[in-house]
Amino acid sequence: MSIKVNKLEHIYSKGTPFEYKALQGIDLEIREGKVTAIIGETGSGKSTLVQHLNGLLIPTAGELEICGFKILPLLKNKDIKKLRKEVGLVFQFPEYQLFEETIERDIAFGPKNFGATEEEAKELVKKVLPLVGLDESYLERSPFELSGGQKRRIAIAGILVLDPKVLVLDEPAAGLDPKGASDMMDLFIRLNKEGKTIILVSHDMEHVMKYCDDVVVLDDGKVKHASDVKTFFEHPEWMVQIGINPPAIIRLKMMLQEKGWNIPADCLDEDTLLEVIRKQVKNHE
Amino acid sequence: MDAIKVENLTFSYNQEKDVIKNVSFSIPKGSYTTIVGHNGSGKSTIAKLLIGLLEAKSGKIEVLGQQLTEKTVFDIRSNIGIVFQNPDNQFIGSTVADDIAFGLENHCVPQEKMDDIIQNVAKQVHMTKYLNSEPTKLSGGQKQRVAIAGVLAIEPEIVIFDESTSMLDPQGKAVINKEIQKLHDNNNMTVLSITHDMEEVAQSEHVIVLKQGQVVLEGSPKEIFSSGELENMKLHLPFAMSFSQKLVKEGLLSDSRLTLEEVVEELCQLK
Repeated sequence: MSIKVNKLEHIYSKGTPFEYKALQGIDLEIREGKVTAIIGETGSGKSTLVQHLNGLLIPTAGELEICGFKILPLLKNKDIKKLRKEVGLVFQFPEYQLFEETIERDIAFGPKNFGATEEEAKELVKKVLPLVGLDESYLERSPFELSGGQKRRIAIAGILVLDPKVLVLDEPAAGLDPKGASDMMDLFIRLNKEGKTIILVSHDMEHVMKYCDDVVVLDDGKVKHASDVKTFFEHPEWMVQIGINPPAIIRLKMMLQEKGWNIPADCLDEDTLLEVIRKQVKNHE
Repeated sequence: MDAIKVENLTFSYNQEKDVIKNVSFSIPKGSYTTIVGHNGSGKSTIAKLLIGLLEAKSGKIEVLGQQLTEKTVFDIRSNIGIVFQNPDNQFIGSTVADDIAFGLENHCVPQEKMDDIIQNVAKQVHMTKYLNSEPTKLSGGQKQRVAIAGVLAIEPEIVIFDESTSMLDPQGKAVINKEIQKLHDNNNMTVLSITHDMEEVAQSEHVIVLKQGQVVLEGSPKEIFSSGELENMKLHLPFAMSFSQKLVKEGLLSDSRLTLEEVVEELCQLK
């Protein structure tokens, strides 16, 4: 079942001098089993929106349908505790939230919170480690002696261990080196192939282009564009409008177009672009 | 004269395994050098050795002709500014202006000169508007610009950037890369930047490639990118370079190019 967002509004500190309308009527459908990117400038409402997906924030007005739950204004926390198991939310720099002495205990914290016994939790931890590319030799180690990328994997394992249907990640590759970042993205693609719906907030258009199926552009608390990834990159002006640097291949295409080259909008990969250039070069066989 | 000269430098954290193995290189005064390599290749260890935060097991470091020893370390540090990776770990002042002033106070700059210097460096990094803001409330890119302003204020001859853009988003990276380039072009500073960002490597003059604590390659960005070694190490080339290599293979360009601007310019001559 897809995720449906209807006229969602969120106002922070309502009725105080600090009142701030972060979301002003979001209508959106996020497809099940796909990888969806949510992009937009700082302050456009990305984080506020994703925090509604597992009920961490409750709408001021409007509603959401997600994993069989209907989230409406004034809903109580206890009504949606189970939703947190279905929708895993990973914050930015999740490694800062590790706290236990061993990796095993850190990952087991979630399942125990949801009522698993010590033994059940330990079994689940063993199963989840390979999903994030680590093995059992890590169980007894301290999470704090690992590299940044490994720590982040542990933090993500702490969410995956609950076997959520939907995984929401806020800037999951931020601060990793290029190899760490692409390993991280490969991990999400693997999880997606295994059936999980992935939603990620990202600033990195190269990642969005390479890994995502759909793109949602937020601007000033509203959905400015929502489309499949191909349509999105056929409209580079959408990125420029919100101050986001398009991927290098799109930049090259735009620069050539400006100089009078005829490059069709749907030319989005290197081989096609190469072919288009070849045909327009004078006297080239 | 060399700004930095390193000879046969070896270092280990635990006396067992050397993480820097017999490394030698020199960085000419006024040049812009980048050091690239995977995490764990020893890049940041070298930066720490250069400013005397770590002590070498053997070998020699010279900064502006002066050998780094226990006696000279403070003298040498006054000539080196450093911008670290995590923008949140390097603020002391409660406002941007205070933060820049901290470095000046440490360098015994008289109070009456401070305001002008702070205004001037804030202007250079386009942060004048934020002088009275709290550093913690700024975006990552803005924080790094404040850190650069703090370095500019003390006018060091050498600036080291230790993965200063790696925690920033692509927009933030592009902005800081421009600032680094300006620092080098306008202020004539010697820049040594440890980086993963190949777009930044492309704008530098000299590149040192580290692998498992050893220098495996040294040269201009073009030499490094054309060598095939980066692909072997599974490091990406900048898009302009990899795409122009394809254009060369197709017989459309005479030679590979470092920037998109150059690619476009040459293609337009063929049209």
